[in-house]
Amino acid sequence: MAQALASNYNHFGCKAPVVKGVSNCTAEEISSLQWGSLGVTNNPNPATNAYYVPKSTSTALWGQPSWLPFGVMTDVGEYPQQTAPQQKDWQYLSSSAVQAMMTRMPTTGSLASTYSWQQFLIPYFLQNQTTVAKYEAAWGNNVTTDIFVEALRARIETAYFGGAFADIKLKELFFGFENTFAAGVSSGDYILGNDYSLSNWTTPIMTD
Amino acid sequence: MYTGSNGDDEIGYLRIVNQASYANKLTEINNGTNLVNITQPDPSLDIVLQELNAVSGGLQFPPNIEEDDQLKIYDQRNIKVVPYTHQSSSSLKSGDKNELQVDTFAGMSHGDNVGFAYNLPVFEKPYGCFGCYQNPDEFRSVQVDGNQYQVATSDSDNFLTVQLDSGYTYQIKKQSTVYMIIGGNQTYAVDDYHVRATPFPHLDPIYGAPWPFYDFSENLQANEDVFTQRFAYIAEEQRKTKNNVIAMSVMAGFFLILAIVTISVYKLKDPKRRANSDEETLMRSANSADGLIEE
Repeated sequence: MAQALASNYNHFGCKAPVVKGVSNCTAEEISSLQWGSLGVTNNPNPATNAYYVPKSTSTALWGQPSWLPFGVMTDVGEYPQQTAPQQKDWQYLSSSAVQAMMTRMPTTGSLASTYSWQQFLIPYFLQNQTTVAKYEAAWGNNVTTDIFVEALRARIETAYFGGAFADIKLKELFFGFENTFAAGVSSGDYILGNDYSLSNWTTPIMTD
Repeated sequence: MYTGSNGDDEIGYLRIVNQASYANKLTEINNGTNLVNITQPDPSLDIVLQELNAVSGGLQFPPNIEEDDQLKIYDQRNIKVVPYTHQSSSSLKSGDKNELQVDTFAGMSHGDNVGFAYNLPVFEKPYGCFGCYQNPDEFRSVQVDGNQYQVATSDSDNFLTVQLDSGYTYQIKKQSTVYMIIGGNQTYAVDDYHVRATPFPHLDPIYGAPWPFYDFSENLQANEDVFTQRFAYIAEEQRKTKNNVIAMSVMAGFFLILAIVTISVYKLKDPKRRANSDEETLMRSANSADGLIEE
């Protein structure tokens, strides 16, 4: 096992400190590499066991529910696939850039990372270029905020809402229908104040 | 207590007692800023909480309405209070013995921003968006089923017809179109996604453009025969009043003419006027005689 971990450590270029003589990638390193550039599934380590990380465009397609606490991952959420419809136009983020985005915020030490993402989007959409420039400087030149925000929008559209278009029957317009996205949006950490109050019943025309 | 309904959901929202509106159920109102839960108006409450003051459910108002009164209705669908102002007067069963005067009040808006009620960026406007604000920077065209959307050239119905004496509503009619604007404001910016704080990149092409969601039409009208029969006593009073007015007018006209004739005759036959006239004749005759002598 130690040899396999060391092999992955070298293969994926991890830099985590060696603990008790065992070199091992951290979860943050692996997930950053995969999320920003598909660096794990597109470049599996042949020395270990390709079965565990078969060549794929997403960890969601690895498909071994016994590995994961939440079962099979059905959601393709990697960043490059959200940046452009054609693969040749995908934008990539290096592992170091993703780790910088996850850890280095202008408000370091004061806010949780999820809340800082919200803090970033507010000045971005208000076109406060001074504040946005601080984020870009903290994340590094590898990150283009315009493309990054577009990727987030595309991700939310597909992952949370199942797309921007839907066929809705007239009866559903009048009497309502059960939406599938409220459960996804009404989630998060209750202690952090995330919203749980969204109803899963949508009534576009009538109110009750 | 018998509520007169078949179930809890069929109870009317508002009732009027001693010319004050009360909610039978907890009523939600958007006062433009907040959602307000109201059961009845309380004078001791802040004005923000008195949204139901002089507000009706729409079917009945306090009697003896004046033409300059503003009628206010709680629109349960849009969770808003809608004001109406007097527009015209007309008659039901015109020429009949039960001829009844009713008055039409025009709605001051079709709802405008009704997004609060639906959690959607929707706006209710006249059919075809008559009189809507047109963004001068807009270069996109809206099509429905492949055809260019036609903006209406005339206003659509949005009125309330009431019998003023009794306060009962005869007809409510409203025709509007509900529009959706992704982003909530009319704007047009080519490829500038910085302003599009929405999670739908595929809807960017229609961002900031009002596109027709659905047409809305409602027309609630009482049976004319039944309505006029029920208020026959008012029609009778109106007819009596009308007859009295006509009779008084005729009499007033008659006496006015009589007065004019009398004054004229009096002036013509006035003895003083005749005496003066005789003296004037004598004076003229005397003057003429003097002239002859001088010649």
